[in-house]
Amino acid sequence: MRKQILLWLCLMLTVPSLAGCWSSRELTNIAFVIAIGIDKSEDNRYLLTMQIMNPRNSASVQQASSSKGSPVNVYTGHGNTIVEAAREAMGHISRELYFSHANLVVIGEDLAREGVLEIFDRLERSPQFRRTSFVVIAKDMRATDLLKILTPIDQIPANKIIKTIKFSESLWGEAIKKDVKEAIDELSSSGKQLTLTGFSIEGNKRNGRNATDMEETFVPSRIISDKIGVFNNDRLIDWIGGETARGFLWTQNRIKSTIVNFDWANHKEAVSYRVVRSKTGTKAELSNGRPSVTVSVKVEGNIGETHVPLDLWDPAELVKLQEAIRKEIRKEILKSVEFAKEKKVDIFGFGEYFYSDTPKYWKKVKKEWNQKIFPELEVNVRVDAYIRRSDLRTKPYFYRMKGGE
Amino acid sequence: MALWSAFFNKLIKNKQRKPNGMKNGAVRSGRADDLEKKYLDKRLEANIQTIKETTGNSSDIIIRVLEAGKGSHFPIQAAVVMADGLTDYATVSDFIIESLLNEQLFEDIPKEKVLTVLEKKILSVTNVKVIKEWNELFNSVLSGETVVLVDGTDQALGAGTRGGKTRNVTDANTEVSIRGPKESFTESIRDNTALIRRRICNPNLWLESMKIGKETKTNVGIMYIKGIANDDIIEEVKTRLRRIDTDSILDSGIIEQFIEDETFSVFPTIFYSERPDTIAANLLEGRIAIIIDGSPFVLTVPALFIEFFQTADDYYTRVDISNAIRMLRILVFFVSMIAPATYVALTNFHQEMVPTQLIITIAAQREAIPFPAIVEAVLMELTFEILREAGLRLPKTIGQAVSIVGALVMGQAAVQAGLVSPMMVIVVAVTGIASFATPSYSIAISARLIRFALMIISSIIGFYGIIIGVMFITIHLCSLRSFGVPYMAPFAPLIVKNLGDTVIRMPAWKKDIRPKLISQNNIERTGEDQRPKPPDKKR
Amino acid sequence: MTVEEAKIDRLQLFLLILLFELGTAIVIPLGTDAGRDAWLAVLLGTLGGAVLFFVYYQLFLFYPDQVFSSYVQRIAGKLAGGIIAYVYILYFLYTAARDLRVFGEFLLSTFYPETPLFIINALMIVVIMYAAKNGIEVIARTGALNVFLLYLITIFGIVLLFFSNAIDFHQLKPFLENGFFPVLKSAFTEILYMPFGEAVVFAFIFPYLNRRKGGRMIGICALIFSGLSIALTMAVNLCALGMTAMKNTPFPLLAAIKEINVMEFLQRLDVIFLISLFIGAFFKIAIYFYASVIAIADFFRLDSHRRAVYPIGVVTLIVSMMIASNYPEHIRQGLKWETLYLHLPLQVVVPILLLLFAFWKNRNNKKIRKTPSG
Repeated sequence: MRKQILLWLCLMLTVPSLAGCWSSRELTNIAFVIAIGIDKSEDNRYLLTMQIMNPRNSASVQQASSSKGSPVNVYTGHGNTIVEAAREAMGHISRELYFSHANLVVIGEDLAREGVLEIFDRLERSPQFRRTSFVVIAKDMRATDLLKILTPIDQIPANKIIKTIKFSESLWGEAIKKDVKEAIDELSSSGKQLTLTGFSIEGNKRNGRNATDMEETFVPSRIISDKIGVFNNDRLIDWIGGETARGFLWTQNRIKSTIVNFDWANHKEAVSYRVVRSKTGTKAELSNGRPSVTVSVKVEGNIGETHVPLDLWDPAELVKLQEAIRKEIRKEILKSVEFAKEKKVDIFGFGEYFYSDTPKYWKKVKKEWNQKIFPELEVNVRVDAYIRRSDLRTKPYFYRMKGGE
Repeated sequence: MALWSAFFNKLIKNKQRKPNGMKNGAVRSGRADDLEKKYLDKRLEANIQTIKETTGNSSDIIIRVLEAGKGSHFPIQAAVVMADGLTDYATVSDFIIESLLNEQLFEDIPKEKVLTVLEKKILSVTNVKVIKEWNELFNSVLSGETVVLVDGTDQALGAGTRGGKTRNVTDANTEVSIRGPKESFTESIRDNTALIRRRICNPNLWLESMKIGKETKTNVGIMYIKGIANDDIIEEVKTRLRRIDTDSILDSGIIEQFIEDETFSVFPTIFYSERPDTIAANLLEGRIAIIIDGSPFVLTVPALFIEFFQTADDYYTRVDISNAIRMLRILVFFVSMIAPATYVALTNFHQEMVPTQLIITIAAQREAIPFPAIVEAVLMELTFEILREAGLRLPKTIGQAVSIVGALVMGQAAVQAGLVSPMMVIVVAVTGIASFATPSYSIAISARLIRFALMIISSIIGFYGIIIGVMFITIHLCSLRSFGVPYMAPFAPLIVKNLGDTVIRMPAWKKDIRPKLISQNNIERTGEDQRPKPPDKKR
Repeated sequence: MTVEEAKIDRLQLFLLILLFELGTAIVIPLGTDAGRDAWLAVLLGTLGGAVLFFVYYQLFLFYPDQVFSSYVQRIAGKLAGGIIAYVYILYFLYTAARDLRVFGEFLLSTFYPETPLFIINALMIVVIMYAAKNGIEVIARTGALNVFLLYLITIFGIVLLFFSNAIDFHQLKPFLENGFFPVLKSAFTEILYMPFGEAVVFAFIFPYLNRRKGGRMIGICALIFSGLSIALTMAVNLCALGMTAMKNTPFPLLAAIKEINVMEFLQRLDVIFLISLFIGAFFKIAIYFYASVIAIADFFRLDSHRRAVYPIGVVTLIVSMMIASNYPEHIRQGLKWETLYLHLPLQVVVPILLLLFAFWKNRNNKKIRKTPSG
């Protein structure tokens, strides 16, 4: 018995000497990458930009010497593959790159136009990188320039982009939130084409890299979400914005709340309808070998603002208003469908519905879906809009003044 | 290879123990064990001389020589021997000496029958026994009885006059209860057994006594409820106690070390308590209590792991509260075991698990610290343990404060000096408080020890190391048996019927069954339909 | 005679079988041939597994006090039986080493890329050796404690997946995309053997049951329950990941756990999953290991199985390092080669043949014919 204990003790004492503490990483030796940007560099290699958090300047704790520097720093690396570029950057950074907290991927527009198929391999394969990180395109600029801009309210610019995209998608409806998982699914599916939101800088592109620039009330360069990029296979072909973008988002069941303006009494865009809830369902049908898709949207909301005299206390009036709203939303959706058909890209994922419901048919037409079948696809749009209330006023205060009874 | 085994053998050679301290040719030490004589002498002087020699004329062994009786062959010489301080003065003087000096009682007694008459008719004390051997005489005197020697007889009488000052029955100070009785055991075995008997008025509550310890001859009693306690376990307990061959038993802790199943396990397999109601509850479940004279802690066997998380208060307070607090206690035990190790593992290996903002904050704090995380952790934990030990020695009023507050204050000072990070102070404070919340001290110290081992292994291999360590401990726990009963019952082996009193406690009126593996008569303890309801008729 | 003086009760057997079956099955991709309908293949495999279990238990009933390696010699004769028993010893050792390797590879791919495989495997083997030394009772008791933790974590994970909106039930469609045949094929060429046929190892553990009544029912219930759990887990994985990702990942459950994102706070919970994987792998390897130690002790007539534990432990460790030079080779060995040459004969053919022989040999023995029901 004692021999055993002694033997074990000797064995165990040798372990710490073997242990190089193989996978141990001291916190002070890690660079937390919060966002990465991928561009094509001049010599046809990848330019990888990494936005790294600076612990001293972005920590919540009160430090003794709190000299406010920039909360993030940006480093770049070159390489033929992404993983090579990341390692190459080690020459510039004093720490080991750690990607587990990265939740944003920015793709430069040039690279997007050339094709994004390959870059997602590393993002998927890496044990550190998360598939729940968001993907956006840097519009009209390189990703590296986008990542170098600081933001006033959010300490970490990557967070600003992420939050903007989230709220914009659900509250306005002209941006679409895509994470790596969804992007990969769409890239590898023949029934749906990829769409990504674009972000650009409004204002001076060079300013905004300095922490002192953030001290102004209206900062000189602001990151804004700007249009949605549409892909054909893996190449960026066009941007959609405004009503087209929103029409697209209606079909994806991603809008929670938005403002729909519609014409009334010969005034253009006179009344604002505030959508509170919306639900979209898509159904794919095959009748006699002819495919058709029905998109049904159901919205509920309030009248938010009116510039024409409306009697909102009258239910009959509301019914008419609902009809106008219906038309408007239908118009938006059809606009986006037309655009997609024209470009021959099924961004809505109608093909996917055929795959799940009529797999045999799908097998036959898979290869020609985007080019031949989708542009001829019969798309029926049904909108049910309901006005529930009108906030705190029934008639606008200028009702009499503008000619109401 | 031969060299190695020779080296090993030398290291662990068992030393031979010499028998019983007596070297050859030694002078008789004059101890009670090795008296040449075994039986008393007929002559009083000789007996008194032997007593004086053996006790070395100890000034607290009082020998009062008197002349008893009046009559034809009276007075005869008699002597009363007692140990000062161990006897009840009043009884000795009023009943024994008074009786002996009372001449009237002694009339007309034939000489040979003096002792018998004394025993049966004269000595007015509660218990009297006849003593023939010197061993018995000294045992008797030294346990507080009074011995009456009569000239001309080779027997003596030992009269029960136990008294002397012992601690009063006071509040329990290690197991405080909010609701429930506040009495606690004292150092006198008779008081303790009385406290238990008072709670279980059952003639089946049997008490067996034995004397353990060659020099100390400590009085040890076993109590159990016959018919409920498992006979095999009772036999086992007695066997183990009889096997003890040592010179001193000063506290129940020493008995515990002699009879426990695994000495080198971190976990205790024998339960102890200072409260009579806890012990009584254990007895009613079929356990066996071991009471040691001189120790206010009574042991119960067999013990289960889950017992160490139960307090008496749990049963007296309301069901919901006591269940919540009990679950909290178990959680807290695990926290105190793995908290520092988890912190080290998370910050060194699994940084992805921590929310981004938090890990950045910790990283910022660590920028200024010169040590790696594991060194910091071990340093802080050791400091906390030192403070805790220091707090024990200080007077009660400031002792508690020193432990926790002192640690925090020192931690703060260390943070400002740049030695440790504030996060580490928090972790250590949480661990310390968690370990105080564990009800039983013996389990809390197990957690303290394991914590260090887990910290070391987690610094080498992260969370996987913690999992390996916890698995090791689990297997060890499952392999422990306490007097034949699996330590982790009723979880493993899973006895569903007994689960009603483990992590959660069923209300008192629910059908209650004694623990299956401990008791032998699984009589249901509660009757049918005991759930309280308001009366059907409304007033 | 059983090698160890131990007794386990039926509830413990149930939990042991459950843990054993769940073991690595929830971690590695099962039934990939069946694509989306892998969960259906699992359910079918469960039924097949129940039939096989019936065979093993019936064999046990013929020789209730003996371990498999003993009664195989009595049925097939000393020489043939001895060879068969020896083959089984090697089989169990090999499978223990395989599962150890799978576990080690998993940790290396995900959490500890720089740590040598040897260390991870060694730590695991040390704990398993400790458990095996303590005997089947301790393994069963530890199992009872751990099974609750395992289920707790899995349910917790599934609930969180729902809260993260990661589950999309449409992924289950199209149902039976390629027809029923791939499902059948997957069920009977892959799933039947791994994990359900592996219950043959329990032929070494049945003798420890304290009461035989209802043992069969208990075992089959455990198999069915584990089959349901595995099927459910696979369905959840599919819904959370989608078909493409699921096909290409070596560890589907981990990929699903990575998707959890509740309130931006509960994310990246992979390490919690490590606990459930550890428990599953531990029990699978431990039971195989224990069975091989018992088999060796029984076959070579050792006085205690404890003596065999350390050497066999070291052997298992070394074998686990040697069997394949990289992970894909290891998996391919398992799927292509092993199924035909190892699992089919040793899990199906040999037990059925033995059972037939046993029937014939004991056809005159009325006492055994009237076996206790259940």
